[in-house]
Amino acid sequence: MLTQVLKTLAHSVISLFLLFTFVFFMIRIMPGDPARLLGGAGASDYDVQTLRESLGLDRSVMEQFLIFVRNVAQGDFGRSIQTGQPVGAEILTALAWSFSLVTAAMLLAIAFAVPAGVVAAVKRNRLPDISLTSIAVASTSLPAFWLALILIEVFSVNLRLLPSGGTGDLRNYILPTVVLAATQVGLITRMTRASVVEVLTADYVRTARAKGVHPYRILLRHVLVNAAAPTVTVVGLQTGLVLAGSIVTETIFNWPGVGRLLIRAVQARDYPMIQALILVFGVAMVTFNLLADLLNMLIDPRLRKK
Amino acid sequence: MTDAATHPTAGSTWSRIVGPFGKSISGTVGAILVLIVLVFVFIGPLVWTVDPNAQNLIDSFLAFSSAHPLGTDDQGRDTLARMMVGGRTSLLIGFGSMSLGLVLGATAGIVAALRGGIAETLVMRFVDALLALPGIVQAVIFAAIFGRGLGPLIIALGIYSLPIFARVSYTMTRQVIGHDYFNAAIILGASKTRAVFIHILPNIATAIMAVATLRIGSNILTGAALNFFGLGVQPPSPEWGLMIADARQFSWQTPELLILPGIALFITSIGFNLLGDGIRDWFDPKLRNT
Repeated sequence: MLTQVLKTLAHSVISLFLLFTFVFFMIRIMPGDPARLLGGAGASDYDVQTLRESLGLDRSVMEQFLIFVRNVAQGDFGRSIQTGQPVGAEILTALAWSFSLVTAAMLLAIAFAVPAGVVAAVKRNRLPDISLTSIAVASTSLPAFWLALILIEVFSVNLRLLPSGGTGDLRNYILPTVVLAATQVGLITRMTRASVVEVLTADYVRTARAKGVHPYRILLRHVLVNAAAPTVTVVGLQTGLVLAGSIVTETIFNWPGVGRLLIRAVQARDYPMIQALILVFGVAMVTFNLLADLLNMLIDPRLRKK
Repeated sequence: MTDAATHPTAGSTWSRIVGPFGKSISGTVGAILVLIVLVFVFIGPLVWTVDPNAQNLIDSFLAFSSAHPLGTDDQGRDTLARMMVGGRTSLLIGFGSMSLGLVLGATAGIVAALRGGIAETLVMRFVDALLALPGIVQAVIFAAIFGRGLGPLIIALGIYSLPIFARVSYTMTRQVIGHDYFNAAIILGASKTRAVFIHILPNIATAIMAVATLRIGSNILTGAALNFFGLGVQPPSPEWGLMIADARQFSWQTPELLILPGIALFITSIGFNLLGDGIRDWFDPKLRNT
């Protein structure tokens, strides 16, 4: 299993490098010139050209790539074209904000979805299953940006209970956390349900039942432990995805995280920022995958031996 | 146990016609929802022939009435007409980008599985690389690369759909190649073209169709989100995501302008999601829960 994990890791690093190279060249063919955007409407051609030289954008794309790789190897991700600040520092601050939001959202989603999935599996094809599965489908089909606007409309504008955006105290977390969690509930519920159903039909569960073991003990000792792996994997995968997938939520709620940073960077053609963010998102995905694998090894001794 | 359940061949004429479709409730619900959306969006404008872009400032923010069943927006444009025509754009985005992703992705996946060697390594590495990025990030970056407007948006979402189709067709093709009947066909001298059309495509079609249906739904949602952020279709062309963006500034006055396009998106997306699950259940129970 450990060699498997290392193999996956090596695989991911290669994938990341390819992805990064692809994006590096692709963003340089996007329409829009960062130097002109930065200079503003009033900048003369001479000013724009000077800006371009100072940003290193006058060099060939290949040259820019080699310079970038050399700098990254030295821990330097460049400076943001928009603010002139080192990209790394800005991303670190934003990452902290995103992490706190994503952690809250994933905890909320798990707190709802895992029990829901277990109940649906135990009562499968009966009313609790049908209603919980319907909620799961509805959650995956909900347009997140619309849900966010409706919640703002109800809780901020009409009831004046919660802030509509920004950061301040804990109340600012509530709406974005709910929106982000709502997008995750469906997948985790369905995954939990599927893996619990699979274990419930296993021979050893039937044997335990035949032996007269108490149903709750079967559920806790046999079913849940064995059904945990796929759910842990999905939660790990999704946490990596949500970190960046919070683009919509962060932008609408004006949350200073990496998602909003990406939208702004794309709009300003801020190449260094986009590049660094792609790396961060990729590394986050790989890390959470790896964490899920390791956690599964902790839960399931069979995986450790292999 | 009813008769029909114990004897699969028995049952009413209706259940024989409907066949496997009747077995999946969620699939049936999905098919009905998709049908309702299709009728609303494609037949609707033929019945309700009001121009969705005709402005009339005197008629702005009208409530529901017989002249404007769903009221009007800030520029006095008929909301019902805009919902119908806007839905066409949304469906076009979903269906167009799915088709593009399917054709490119399935071709890449099948070629990779059949050829092996460098083609396989290149395609699958590229697919892995793309999948290393969260979907919405890919969508945002591709939308930025291809520029604004309907065509670029469809291309961006199409490329963003490519990896999943490539991976599914690659995996399924590999399974077909592993079977004896396929090797027998090749040994008997079947050409590559014949192998693809007679043996591979029919065997991978179901899985692809299920993925494709699910993908239409998710691409409509992603497309609407990109339009909402101004990265896709530009005003004044009506589209559900854009209509939500427009309604935002007047939501205190006319919340229905915000609510209606969202519900339309929601229903469409549920419809395609349930239908996709249903297709999987109807045609290939083995694929369930995968």
